[in-house]
Amino acid sequence: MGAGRLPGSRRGEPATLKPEVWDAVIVGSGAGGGPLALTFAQAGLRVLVLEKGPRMSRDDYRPDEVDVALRGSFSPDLEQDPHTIVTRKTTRALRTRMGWIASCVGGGTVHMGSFLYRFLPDDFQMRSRFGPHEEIEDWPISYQELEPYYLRAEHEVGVSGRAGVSPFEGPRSGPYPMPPLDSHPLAETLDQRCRSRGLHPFPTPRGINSRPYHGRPACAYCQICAGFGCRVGARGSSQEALLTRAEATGRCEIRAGCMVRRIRTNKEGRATGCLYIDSEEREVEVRARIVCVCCSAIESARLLLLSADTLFPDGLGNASGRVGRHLQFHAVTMAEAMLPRDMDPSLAENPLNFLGRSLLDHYVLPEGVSDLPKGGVLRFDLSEPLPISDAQLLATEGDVPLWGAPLKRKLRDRYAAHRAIHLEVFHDFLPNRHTRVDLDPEVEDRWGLPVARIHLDLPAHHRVAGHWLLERGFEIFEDLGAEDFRVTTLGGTSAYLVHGTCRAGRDPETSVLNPDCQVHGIPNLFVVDGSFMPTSGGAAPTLTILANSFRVADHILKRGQSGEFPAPS
Amino acid sequence: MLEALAARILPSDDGPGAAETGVGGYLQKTLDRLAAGTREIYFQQLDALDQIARRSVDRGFADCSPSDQDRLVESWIEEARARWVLEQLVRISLEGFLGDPRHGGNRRRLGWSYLGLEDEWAPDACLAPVAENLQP
Repeated sequence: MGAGRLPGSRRGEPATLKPEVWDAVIVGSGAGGGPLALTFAQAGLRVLVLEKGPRMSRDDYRPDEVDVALRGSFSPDLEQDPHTIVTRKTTRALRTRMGWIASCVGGGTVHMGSFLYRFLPDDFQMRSRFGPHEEIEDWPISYQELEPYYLRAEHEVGVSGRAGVSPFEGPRSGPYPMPPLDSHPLAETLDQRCRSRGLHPFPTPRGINSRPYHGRPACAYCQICAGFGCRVGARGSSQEALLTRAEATGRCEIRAGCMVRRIRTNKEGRATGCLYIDSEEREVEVRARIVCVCCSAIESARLLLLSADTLFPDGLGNASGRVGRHLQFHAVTMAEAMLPRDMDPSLAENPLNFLGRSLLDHYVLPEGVSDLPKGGVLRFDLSEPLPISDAQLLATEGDVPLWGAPLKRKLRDRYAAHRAIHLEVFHDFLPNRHTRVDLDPEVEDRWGLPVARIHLDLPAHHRVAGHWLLERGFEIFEDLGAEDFRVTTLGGTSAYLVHGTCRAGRDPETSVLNPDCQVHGIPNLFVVDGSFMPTSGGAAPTLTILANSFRVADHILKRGQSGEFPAPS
Repeated sequence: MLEALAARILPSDDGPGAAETGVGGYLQKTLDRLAAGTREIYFQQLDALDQIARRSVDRGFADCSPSDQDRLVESWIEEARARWVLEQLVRISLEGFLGDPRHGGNRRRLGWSYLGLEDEWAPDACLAPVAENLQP
């Protein structure tokens, strides 16, 4: 390993020791940073990963609804380190946790549901395929170019699934590395009902081991999964599947609790490294041949803006004023319905919650539904028990809160007499003129830095498409004999799944990154997370972020071999 | 007072309620952690409930019979601020009733078992078997 840890200096004092020099410094350790760290370290580079959040272990990931779901233990404190948000309904920016995916080693992949769908070829050419809508644009790479890296990502993190079941999936050069996870027997009924409607259900691909894989155990089928850390180590998080292996090379060091506040550049306009504040509030400078920003779309854009200097007065990569523009979340439509436990013996007897079924049949909408005929992917599972959230919803949905004996009867009926079936639809969040991120002129984080301010506006298509997709889900609910349909979100906005703030393209006038995610004009600075995505895709984006990161890693290594990345001067 | 109100939010007539699961204490602990200004709103409204009890049955809310208490709560929440406070107290009570016991409520996991979430159906069901599986 490289030079030992330098003591740095108290903030405001000059550093007394010479900064360390690394081959690559990677800011952020999630779906963007993990593949880079692994690929670089395996290729012999010395890599430093800086992560703002703490490092946790399997034992820390308790399935604790109070800590994780109610208190949001994966995201930073709202007082100390918030985002702010402006919408049509606000008169001033409000503090929010929105857009914080997770602040910890492994990032959002630590608690992700791990629904690792590929995008379809159409997602890469939205504008050519569907014409102009809001600010949609074609990607500078095609599905075919990304395909080998999809396969690689599926093998590196470990995805359980079955290829070739859905006729709508894009071409594949190989199968999934593991068969699908076990599913509740109701999945067979669901398959039959879907097929008799002419639909093509297929096993939801998940980044969870269905058998031991790469030294990690198989899924233990816990009652609580998505949204919580995995105690077993069966989920292919960046931490479990990528960073651990990167560290094992002896060439990758991960420093947790380190908040990068600035990327530094020299007078030639190259990145030289960064300044960070460590967990003891010391300011430390590190230097590197290659600098990769992988903080997720909102925080990556913020870091580029925070790094403004004399050569780049509007922020790095922001000569075109486009850093922070085209922020996208995901459009999400969710619903739940009740299945009486006495309807089918397996509902009372089998505690497994995975149905593990998805539909791609409605990825393209029929004519006349919406101006933009783009739908999304429907996913069905049995609901995991989040008894507090469920109970709070039941108690507070009327004008007067439910309490006393009627409340208790309702709770018991919900759980003791029913299983809930859950529909989640991911669909496109359209990039639009109003939705973007910039630096908040008033609110600062606990380090005194301006926080990211989100401007959010939702095109009508989100609700229109969501409504039509919801009706398709309800038809399946009806076929299954479910009751008491309840819409949780219709065309709503995901709290995480962020993309688009540093759009990749060929023209520096209209994009921030080149097709290989290098910041236009700064040859050794890369933004590698969801920021590059010109459009959000109609499925959850995590596998695409992982695959693209492997692609960019190969590109950087190739350029490095031809001597393009000298030591910083 | 909080204990008594918790016992009306989650009564014990058809199985374990607030009294058996430690919800009163959980409420107290949660309110103690609130910012002073917010806490004041709760205590003003709880005080109002106590005043209603004294006017109507000549004793404090905690000393009233359960059926009187239910009636008093109904009349208390005709006022919008009281209704808001009750809604918050219901939310916190449900946390205390159904949260991981390590937070102080859901004593002996009675909240979960009331819902039928025992053993392999409980949210933390994977903890024990996983620990066994991971033995070398």
